[in-house]
Amino acid sequence: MTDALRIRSMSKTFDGVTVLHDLDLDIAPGEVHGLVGENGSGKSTFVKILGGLHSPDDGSSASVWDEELSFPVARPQQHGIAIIHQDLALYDGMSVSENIGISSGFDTTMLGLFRRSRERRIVQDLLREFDVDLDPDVLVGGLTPSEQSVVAILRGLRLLRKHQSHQVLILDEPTAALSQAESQKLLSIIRGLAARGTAILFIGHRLQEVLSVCDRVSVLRSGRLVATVEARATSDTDLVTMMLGYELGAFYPDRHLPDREREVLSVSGLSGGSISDLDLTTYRGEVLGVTGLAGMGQDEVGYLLVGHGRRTSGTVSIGGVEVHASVGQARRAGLVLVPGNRQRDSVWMEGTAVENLTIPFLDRFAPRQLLNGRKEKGFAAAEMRRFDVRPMQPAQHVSRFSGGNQQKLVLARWLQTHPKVLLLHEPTQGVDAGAKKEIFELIRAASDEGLSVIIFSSDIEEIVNVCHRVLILDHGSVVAEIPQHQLSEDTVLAASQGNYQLHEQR
Amino acid sequence: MTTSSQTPAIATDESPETGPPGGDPLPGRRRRSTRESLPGLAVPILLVLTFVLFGILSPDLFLTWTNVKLTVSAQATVLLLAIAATIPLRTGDFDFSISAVMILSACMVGSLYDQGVSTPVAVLLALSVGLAVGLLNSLFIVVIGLDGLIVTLGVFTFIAGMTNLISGGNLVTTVPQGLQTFANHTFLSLPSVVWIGWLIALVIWFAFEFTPLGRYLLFIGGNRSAASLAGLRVNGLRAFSFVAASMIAAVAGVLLAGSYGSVDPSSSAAYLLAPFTAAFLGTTTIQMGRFNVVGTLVGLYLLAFGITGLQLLGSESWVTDAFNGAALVLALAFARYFQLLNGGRLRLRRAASS
Repeated sequence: MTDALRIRSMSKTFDGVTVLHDLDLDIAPGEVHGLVGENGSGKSTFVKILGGLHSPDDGSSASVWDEELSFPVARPQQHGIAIIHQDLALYDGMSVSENIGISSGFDTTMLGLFRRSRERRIVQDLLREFDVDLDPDVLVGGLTPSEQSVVAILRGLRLLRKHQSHQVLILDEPTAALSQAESQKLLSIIRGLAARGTAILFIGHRLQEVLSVCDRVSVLRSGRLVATVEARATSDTDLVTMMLGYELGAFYPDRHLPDREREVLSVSGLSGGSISDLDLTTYRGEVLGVTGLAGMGQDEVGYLLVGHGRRTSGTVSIGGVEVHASVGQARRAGLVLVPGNRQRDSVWMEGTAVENLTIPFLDRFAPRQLLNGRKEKGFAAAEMRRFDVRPMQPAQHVSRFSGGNQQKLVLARWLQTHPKVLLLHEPTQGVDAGAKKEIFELIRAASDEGLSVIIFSSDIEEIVNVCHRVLILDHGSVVAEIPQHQLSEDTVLAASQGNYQLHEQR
Repeated sequence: MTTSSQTPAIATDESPETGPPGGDPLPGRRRRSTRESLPGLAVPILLVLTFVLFGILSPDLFLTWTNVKLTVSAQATVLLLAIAATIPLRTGDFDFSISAVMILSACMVGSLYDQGVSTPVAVLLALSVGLAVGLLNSLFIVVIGLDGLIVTLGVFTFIAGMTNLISGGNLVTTVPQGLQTFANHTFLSLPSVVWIGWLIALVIWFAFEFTPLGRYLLFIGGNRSAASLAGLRVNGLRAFSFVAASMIAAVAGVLLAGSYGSVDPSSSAAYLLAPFTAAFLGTTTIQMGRFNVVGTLVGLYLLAFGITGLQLLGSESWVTDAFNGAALVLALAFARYFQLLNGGRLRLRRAASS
């Protein structure tokens, strides 16, 4: 049988460093094929080769529906390959049909006539063909994240229209920015595409999701293919073991019961943005989870609590002392936030590791306003060792660290301010399995020492396995509280959808 | 308002998977350090080459103490403007109004003195104009949140108009004698204007390199949102930068009036771009990708001596504008090129939406 995509002995060497070793990979028509591996395992290099950004080493070969590709791949779409990157590159201010049409130049020439009605018809046909319920005239900026992903995928497919069923779709972490419920919708659309004969390469970090959507999964480690396995006969722990090359052990650390007597943070009647009249209390040593369906406010609470964003009413106090709405004051009171969008809200990519680590407490190294660079660098080196931030080079630009190491650096930054309450927004987004485990262990160790932690996350698996107690938000206020002994993905999902009674306080 | 779109620093993005995979980071690092230090010296080397080139082409005119002295003296006020421009640039803001502030301040000193105001009061009033414009810029850009580039260009034009109103459109020649004597007083054969410029540059350099303030400004320029979530007083520090820039520009104006003895009220446009060219050349110097004082100074003198050299070879006055404009664009391209060499890749900037 003809393979949709056949890769043989593909290698890639950068400056003497081989990042892809002799890769063999086949994808059958109508198959969803998973590709997993830690950051740096070669997934992106592989995608970039197929997209024509890199040329592989001599001896590599790839064919699409029995047609040999020459390298560098000049125009992947002419061979029926569409690549949907994590950054969807959509234009928020343009409509769905404009976004879909622009990639193919609206099938007209530079100075040709733009035929709006024809455009609209083509897009409507596409939407109908793939059974997607979207208005072609609505602006992309107003869509939900999963709908935006669908638009990006349709745009890729439009490029491949003349290839009929001979299509290869490469999805690079399409669900990274989506909540669980949102990604479920997207996954079912992906399955639908495969059922029509499109071959799909699905790159993902969330292993359960990969296993649920894929037929087979290939695992990369340090640029080598470790194995290609049937998804049905594989568990996520198997995948992690293959990715790391050793057993990770229990992925989530044990939880010790917190001291429910001592209240630390207490919030009452907090409103602002999409949050309305929110009450919550945390205890010493407790890890509290806050989640809900997408857009119910869990992405905003943390920012509002530290005073980034306007509070319209309500009080926030730590140990009975009120904290005013200012990031600096919240920090001095012991309330700090690790933002979810690292690149946007947390690190200065062109700054060095030291500069990013010490920014909130730089005055510590500046007696009489005179910066002691050597002392600062020594401190940073010690912290990086303690938190296992690799490479341990304080003068390295943060952009050169992997997502997981950047996140560890940010955690080190905030734990160094000796907070009483640590707020974590999507703490493991874009972080690979190994670093994820380390981050959970850090959270666990800090909470054992009495730190109170709140995790705002849409990753229900993580929330269920790490937290002592979970609050469910609906339209900006708490509608359910689930104690540890009742925590499961099912109860959290049910509660998010409104099927859980508010638990009586113990 | 998006924060990233107005940050003048050059954006690069790093894909962790293009580098050597995990494990041994050393080879990558060694390569990086040589690549990064050499380009940092490119502008200083160009400056030296300028001297060598024009020294060979016109040894008896260019390579003389008189030429160096004249060029450095003529650049003293531009140097202050370039330092002024560097401060808001460090926090990611453009302030194009500084050259207009300088000319307004210079004209005010003369006009007020002409109307019987004493020299110290005239100087103080001229300096307070700097404070006022800095606060005005902060109000529109930091508090209200308008685009700094457009606002300061508007303020530039507005002030240029007001300057013509105050001076009646005529050359202001009534600069107090005392101020002229002070500005032209020489020490080690260089006029005091030059020394004051260097002194202010030294102070700002020290603040940038050795105090937390300098780091805070850089961090804000690097990622405004992260800076604010790290608890920095982003708005206060940005306002401070605008005020500091305007104040230094006002000082430059007073010195300009003193050293020339007369001021052309419509000359602000002539000073518009050179400070920025110097500052952007500076980001390719010593500290790659960062606005820094030493870089700005080296950039400024490269421009100044390049133009003087061409003029001594017989080029006409159009050379100044052409050279400044071309150098600004080339400086930007240069900075981007070395950033790409260092492993960054182009990133499409999208409005912060997702």
